[in-house]
Amino acid sequence: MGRGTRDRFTRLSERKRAVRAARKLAPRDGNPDELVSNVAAHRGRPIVMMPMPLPAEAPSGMWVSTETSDYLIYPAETTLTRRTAVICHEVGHMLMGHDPGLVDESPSSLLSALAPDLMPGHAARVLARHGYNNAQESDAEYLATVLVTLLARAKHDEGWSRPGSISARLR
Amino acid sequence: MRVLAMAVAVLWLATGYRVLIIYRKGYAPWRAHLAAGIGGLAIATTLYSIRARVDEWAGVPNLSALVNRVVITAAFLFIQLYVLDLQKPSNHRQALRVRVSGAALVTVVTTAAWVMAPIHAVELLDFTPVAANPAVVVYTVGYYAYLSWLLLDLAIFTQREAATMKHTDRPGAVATGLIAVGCYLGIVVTALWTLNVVAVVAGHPTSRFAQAGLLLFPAPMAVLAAGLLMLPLLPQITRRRDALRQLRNITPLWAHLVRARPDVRLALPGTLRLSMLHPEVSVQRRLIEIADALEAITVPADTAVTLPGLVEALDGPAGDARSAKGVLAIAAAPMHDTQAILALGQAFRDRSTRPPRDVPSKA
Repeated sequence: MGRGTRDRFTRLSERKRAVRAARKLAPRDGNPDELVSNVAAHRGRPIVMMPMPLPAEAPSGMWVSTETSDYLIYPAETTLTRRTAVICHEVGHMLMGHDPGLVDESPSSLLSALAPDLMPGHAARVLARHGYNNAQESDAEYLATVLVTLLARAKHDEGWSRPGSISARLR
Repeated sequence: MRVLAMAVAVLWLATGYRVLIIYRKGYAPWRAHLAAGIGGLAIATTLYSIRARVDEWAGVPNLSALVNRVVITAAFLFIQLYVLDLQKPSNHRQALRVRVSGAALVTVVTTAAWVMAPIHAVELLDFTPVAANPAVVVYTVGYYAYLSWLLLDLAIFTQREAATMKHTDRPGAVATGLIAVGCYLGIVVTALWTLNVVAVVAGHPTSRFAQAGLLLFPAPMAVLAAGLLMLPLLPQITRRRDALRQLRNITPLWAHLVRARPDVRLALPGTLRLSMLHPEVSVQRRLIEIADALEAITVPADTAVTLPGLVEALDGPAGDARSAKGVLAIAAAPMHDTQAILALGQAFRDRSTRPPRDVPSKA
């Protein structure tokens, strides 16, 4: 088996594992913040949500990983749809087991400007949502789409089941 | 016969679904009661469909008819326990005792009547020829009365539940409504069989009632089981229907925006692209890409702050004064942003399908 084929199989099994985890962690109320709490509990690391005024040319979201915590940065001024998509994208990276390395200078310099307290120099590593032109980004965005669908489905069904009703008991 | 086979299949499917629920959500007494109740009805209906062969194999004519009654009584007892758990009456222990002793008494009386009835010589499709015998009257009419009371109790309860859920829980209302219809149909069947015995005792024997009862017997079972299966199926059907409708509405806008901003589009390899064909996934993907594009696209300063105004601006030459997202937020206020995108998609689609303004209408 060639290296390319092996890599494809590895990615496929990683995606499958991540989708399984996503199904388990997606909350019943369809709330993205609840999803983040569930993922934090699953990983055993706190995730701090940080809404920030991100400039138009900047990445639309970032996952900053330090030794003790994960920071999830998303645009403060945006629609709910986009906020959910950005959060799910970063959560997607976490569930895929991506390693946030300092691959690009621009997110880290931007982050230093936006949240200097978060960048003690050596400890923080960053993954940014900025286009889907590499395998990690497209995998995270794929998982984000799955997560957004699961949240939308939960919201769609939420009003249908009065707790304690015969319908809730029959489900 | 085909209806009976269908009823058997649907009941076993419903039993399997309830067992799966126990496996997935964990054991709870009420879950086990419901699974046992539905499973009992599945066993009884299966037994009914092969009763002649079972009796022949056992060498006891009409034995399966008795076993059937005992199994149905047990099945309804489990369903009663399930309903009791839902109703949570203050005198739960007493209510439980009444139901368990009722089922036990009916089982003993029915078995005694079956032993005394002159039905052990030949296999009978129905008991019309011996219906005037007192033991047969107890065996049939007594049992039908008990069954009718159980069915009526369950029908009233589920009908009431369906009415309360009509506007808040459509699948629940349809499911419980169907269970109520199944129970009412069951009462019709027992009434037909009771009429058959009454006609014989009154000296006007006719096979019409018994035949109609036999013909109708699988219907309540099938409707009841269909009601149970509707709960997991109906949300999926309505979600898929809603997603397809939304997809139709937003696709022209999405196609237009990803042409203008190809960087927002997620290109996936073959196998993953297939998963995007699922309407629910596809609609969410397109909503994300539309939201990303609207964030990046700007429109001219003189864009009218209305949905048709924004549609016109998006379709026209690019501007650089106002954010398309900002215009949409004001134009569609106070809609939730997903609803705003759906409304914009509808407006864009309407414009795309409308003839150009300078072409005179034929009318």
